Amino acid sequence: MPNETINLVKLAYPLALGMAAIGSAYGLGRAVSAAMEAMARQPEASGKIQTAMIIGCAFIEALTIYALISIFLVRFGG
Amino acid sequence: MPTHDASEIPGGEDARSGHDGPADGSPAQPSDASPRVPAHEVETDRAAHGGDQGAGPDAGGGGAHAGGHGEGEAPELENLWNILAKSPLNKEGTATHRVIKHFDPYVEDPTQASLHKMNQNVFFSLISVGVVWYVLWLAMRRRAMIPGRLQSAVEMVVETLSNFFLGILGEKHGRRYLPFLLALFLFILVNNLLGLVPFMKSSTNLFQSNIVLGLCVFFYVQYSGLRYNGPKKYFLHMVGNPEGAVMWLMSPLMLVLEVLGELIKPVSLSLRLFGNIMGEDILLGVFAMLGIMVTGALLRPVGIEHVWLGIPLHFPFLFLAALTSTIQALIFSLLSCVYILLMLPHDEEER
Repeated sequence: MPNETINLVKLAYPLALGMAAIGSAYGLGRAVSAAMEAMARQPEASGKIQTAMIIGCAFIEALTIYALISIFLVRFGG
Repeated sequence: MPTHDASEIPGGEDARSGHDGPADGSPAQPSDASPRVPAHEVETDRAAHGGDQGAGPDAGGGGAHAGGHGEGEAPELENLWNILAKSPLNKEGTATHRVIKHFDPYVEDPTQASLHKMNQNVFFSLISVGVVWYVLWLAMRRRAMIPGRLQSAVEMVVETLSNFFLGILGEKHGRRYLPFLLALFLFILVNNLLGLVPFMKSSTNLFQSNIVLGLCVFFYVQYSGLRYNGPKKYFLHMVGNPEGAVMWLMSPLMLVLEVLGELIKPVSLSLRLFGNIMGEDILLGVFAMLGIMVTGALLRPVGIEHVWLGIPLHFPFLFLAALTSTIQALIFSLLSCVYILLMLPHDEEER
């Protein structure tokens, strides 16, 4: 493969991960902002809200992790 | 990946060329030629961790080996297994070599070789099982009414988790699922955190060990659904609880959808855990290798050619890795709990 093609292919991996990260950043921002608003309304429930927020964040993060896994599979030969 | 770009970084050349000595010294070392040993193994400055003062530099300290083997392997920190296999102890006639060759043989067949790639994971998961077992045994040796420190700490952890899971599953029927969920949580937690201890490796590093955990959860959930509901209600649950002729007509479609949904749940569980743990391992490995390269670049004008220890650039990421390991263990067991809840009959809602 010519050198320019190899460089373009190598560009694809971080680009894909960046696009996945945009979506996850947007989702996490919304989740955390809703949690903060709820905690401000009712400070005594902040323990439960924090737990639920962490769990929700792990779900949203998982999709970006799937993109990372696919990069590993392609790059390191699964 | 750094193998291609290391030549552009000053000090990358030296970091590579410094370590053909020990690696090529002993003849017919199986760990050199076998494809399963990750090529870019990295040794870090252990003294920065505050422990392991006796651990000197090792053959793997050169970072990006130019050996030409293992181009497709991801970088990873050293662990006991790798160090032992590559150390000078592993000479042909010694007992060490016989033990290592027994547990980690070099095979030609790529299928068998890919199976043997998991040997380290099995070994370190046995270590984590031993750790969990030992701590719990120590705590419960004398079940005093007024508990000592270890017993009260363990009781606190178990009780917090039990209340958490019982809050989801319901107090009445949830108790019988608690042993599985607690064992799952503790096992995954110790497995994940073991990777952060110097010279150890998290056994949840490969996809194979995660899909095993996912399959355990899958079979347990289906079995408890079958046992609690009975086969007829279980099948009706799979078909979507049809009432009326229209829904009965749609029921094959619903069956396909439900079966697919049930199958994808353990896969997504294990992929999430696998991605997080392997990602953090590679992150630590790459940053440690970067630290060695940076040290090589900095020390090269002074005249020091071979760099074996480096600035531990990966140190802040240890805390991030500890956080995500704990959270992922919690997420795994929490989701298993929710899947069990979905299998139980829903008329528990009226409490």
